[in-house]
Amino acid sequence: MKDVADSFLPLAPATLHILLALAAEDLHGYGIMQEVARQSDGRYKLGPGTLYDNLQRMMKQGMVEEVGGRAEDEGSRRRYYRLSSLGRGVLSAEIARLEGVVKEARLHLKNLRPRRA
Amino acid sequence: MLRSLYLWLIRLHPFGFRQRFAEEMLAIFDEVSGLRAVTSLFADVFVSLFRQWVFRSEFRQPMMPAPVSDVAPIFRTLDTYRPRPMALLNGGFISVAALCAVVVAMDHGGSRRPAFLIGVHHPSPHLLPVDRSSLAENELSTAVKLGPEPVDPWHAIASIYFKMIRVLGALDADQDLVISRWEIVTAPGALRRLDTDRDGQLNPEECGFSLGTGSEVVADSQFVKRARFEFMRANPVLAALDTDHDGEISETEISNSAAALKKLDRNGDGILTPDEVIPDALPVRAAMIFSRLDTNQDGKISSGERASEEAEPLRDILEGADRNHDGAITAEELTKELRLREERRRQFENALRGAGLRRDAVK
Repeated sequence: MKDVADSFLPLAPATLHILLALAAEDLHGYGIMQEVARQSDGRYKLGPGTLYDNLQRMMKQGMVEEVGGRAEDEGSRRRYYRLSSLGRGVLSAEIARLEGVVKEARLHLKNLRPRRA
Repeated sequence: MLRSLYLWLIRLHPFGFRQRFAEEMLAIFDEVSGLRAVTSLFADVFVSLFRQWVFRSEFRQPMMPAPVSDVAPIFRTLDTYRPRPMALLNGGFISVAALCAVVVAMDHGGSRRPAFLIGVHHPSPHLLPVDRSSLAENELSTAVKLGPEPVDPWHAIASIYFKMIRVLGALDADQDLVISRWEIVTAPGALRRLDTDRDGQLNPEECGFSLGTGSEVVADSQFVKRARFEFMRANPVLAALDTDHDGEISETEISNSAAALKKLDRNGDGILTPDEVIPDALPVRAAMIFSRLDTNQDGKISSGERASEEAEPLRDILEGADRNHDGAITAEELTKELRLREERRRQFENALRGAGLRRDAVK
């Protein structure tokens, strides 16, 4: 399973943000867009075209799957998406990879001394 | 209005994508508000349109008809593929949009590159008329250089020879080093203009003969007389015009000059080219030798004339030329001997070149 998850790394920013958005709860497309904007403090915004292009690919790869609509959205055009077990594994692997990058970066930055003007 | 346009752009997406996500994308459009958000949605849908058609071919699956029954055989008709009218409409729209984008980009490009203009500064009536009203008045920025013309070995020689022989210069009115049909026909008039002393005939000096002034040979009247005579005889044009070979071109000979010149036209093309009017070098050289050694002007170099001091440097040639051993050398014999020696020299030099040697390297 870990080898399969590692084969998807490193993730593109859009893929990572969508997986992160779906990590907490199942969301519809517009919800994913809002969650991504919230996570990045508005610095990264997904358009519908980019979102559904990534969802299309991630569903084919098995990282995301569609779930039935909720009772309050009866008759709505919204569809909900959730992380599959593979998606969670990929997200975990990517987070671990990024933690290693951050750790390495901190180690290097620690040894750097500020230059005198 | 904007919603309809957005919906139309969604419908331009590939079938599979729009069937799966069109409603959701439109739902998102209905959720957002504000000009900035709507503008970003339109930018996004254009990018998505390009992305789906260009990079996402793997998601475009052909629509297969569902089997009617598990037991009944399935028959499929492989008709000639015909795109749907909507697909043609979509393709046409994308093409027009791409063309418009290219045209706009070209018109509003940041850098103005200099145009390459090739043409002529002075229009000629032989050129096709060109409407230049739409062109800016720019200097021609590109020069077209032609390669060197093939060298005509006769041209350099002919240009000198035509100046030296005044008769040829007068005949060649357009100075193209070719005596054309028209120049042959008008030869009498051209020759009469050379008659500077108005005696009605052309002497060697009027034809171009000159020995210069102040030299010893000029003082020798006999030599000058022979040289003038050989001058008229050695040059083919003068020899052809001087039909009675008296060393001068008379009034009658001037009048008949057109017919006389036509006899020089060896290839019968109606014009006289340099190779037809420039003398062979060897007969000229032979004539020069004769002009110096044939003191009694009998047309032969006798054994007595061969014994002169002036003939000493040429003794070897003169002995070789007397092939019938009669003691006298004719002009033909001398020319033949010179030609033979010239041929030997050429063969010798060719052999040296073949061996990779130079003539001055052989001692």
